[in-house]
Amino acid sequence: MKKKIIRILAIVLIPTACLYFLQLLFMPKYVSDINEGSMIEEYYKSSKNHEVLILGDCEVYENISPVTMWEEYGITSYIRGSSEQLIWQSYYLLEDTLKYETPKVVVLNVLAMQQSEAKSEAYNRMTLDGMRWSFSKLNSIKESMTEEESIISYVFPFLRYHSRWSELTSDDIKYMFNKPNVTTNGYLMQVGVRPMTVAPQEVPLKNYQFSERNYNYLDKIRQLCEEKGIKLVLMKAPSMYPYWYERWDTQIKEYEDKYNLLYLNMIEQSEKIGIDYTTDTFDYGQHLNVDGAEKLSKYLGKILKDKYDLADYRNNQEYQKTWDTLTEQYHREKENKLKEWENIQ
Amino acid sequence: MKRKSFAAMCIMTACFAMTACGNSSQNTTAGGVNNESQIENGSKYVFETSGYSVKVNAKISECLEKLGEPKGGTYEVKSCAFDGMDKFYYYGAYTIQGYQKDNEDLVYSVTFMDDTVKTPEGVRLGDSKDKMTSAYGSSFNQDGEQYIYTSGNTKLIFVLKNDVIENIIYELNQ
Repeated sequence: MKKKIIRILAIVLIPTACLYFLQLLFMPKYVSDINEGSMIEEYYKSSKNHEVLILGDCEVYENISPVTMWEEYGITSYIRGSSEQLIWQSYYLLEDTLKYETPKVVVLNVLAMQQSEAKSEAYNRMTLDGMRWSFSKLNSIKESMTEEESIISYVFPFLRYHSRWSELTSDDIKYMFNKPNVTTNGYLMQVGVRPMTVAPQEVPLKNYQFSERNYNYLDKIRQLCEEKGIKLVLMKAPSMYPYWYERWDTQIKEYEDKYNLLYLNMIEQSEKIGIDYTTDTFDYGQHLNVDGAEKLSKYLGKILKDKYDLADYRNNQEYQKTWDTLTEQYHREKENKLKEWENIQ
Repeated sequence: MKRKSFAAMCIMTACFAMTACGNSSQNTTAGGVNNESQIENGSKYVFETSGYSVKVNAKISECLEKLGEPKGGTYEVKSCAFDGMDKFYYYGAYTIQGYQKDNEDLVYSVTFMDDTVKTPEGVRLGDSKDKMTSAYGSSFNQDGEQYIYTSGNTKLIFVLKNDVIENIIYELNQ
């Protein structure tokens, strides 16, 4: 009888373990390339005592530096950003984050309001695969999936990635169990300078109206923040592309007025912030480089600190060690990347 | 008995792997998800300017050769995380948007920017719905304020507000 039980266990456990390890091996690692795929899961390794949580797409993780907000004001912040993060994905990431901590302020970038369907599986994967399993992840998958995707491939990513066998590299073995951070509290640093010489123009669209679906999720974000006593700030980052249409801006302003929120259109304030699109962008105005991100972070940090009376934790020993490490890493990374950039010039 | 157990394990693993192999339509990496559309060639809807027909899916290099460099400049940006560029060619009265397919820049859309240009059928921004239907008929698909005429690889889209044409777009029919 004992032998039978052992045999049955072996029949179940050995293949399960094999498949688990194969899954770890075959999942894309996003370390040496397409770092954006690593960002969502990195959060779980952080200290989880942040007063400011920032949600959104590349307009947050490329444009805001939490270390600068710490150095200038002692604000503790984390960016849970991901490429083309859709508004419902922001909602489920908020739900997910609230399982670990309750920030005082949530900053939500509003560019995603103009996109009401997931464009591709590739972007979905970068937001969803990195989330820990929970109903938040499951619901986000259900809401995000394109026609070609299936839930089972998210539950067992090996089903999706098994055909990577011919593309496996040493990274896939090296980072099977542990991956280095590619961001500093969610900020993905870029140091290059590629000036914006031609500004993107206002090319008319077929439809400017934000979808009901997106408004529903914006409502859910607002309501969840209200329930938890969190202040919600809407922000449009000072990225010049995709073009931010006045009719989109009006809809956000109306929402701001209706619910008495704070909306910061940083494009309108880019001069005040001091952004120079000939020096502060690494991709012709679409995203800021580290100089631009530091300018925006100083500006945003001051507003958040003044308006929401955020504490200055710089002299608090509980926070100092973590943030000293982050700050040191950040400056080392900046120095190294600047050297690399100079070398390729 | 041991052989039976071993065989059972092999069958389980193989079944799982075979299930995995079943979906061959998906690409191998998250970055390489297919976005191919079934593109037919040609359409009766073509924008004409300076004696040249700007066809959706035509090579951008050919357009630039015929139309000259855009006087409003060109704006190019890389997509957020993956390869591929969004490109806009600003010709003043109209804008051509390009996309990349098989390493080639092709025309994705032509959007009217003002009323100094018109379609070959004589419709321009500010015209009435009646003018649109007398030029193109009533075989359109309506999606809210959009009136969409489709032919081959091109959608000709009119956006109307209070029965006045606010926007005209020739776009790739994906």
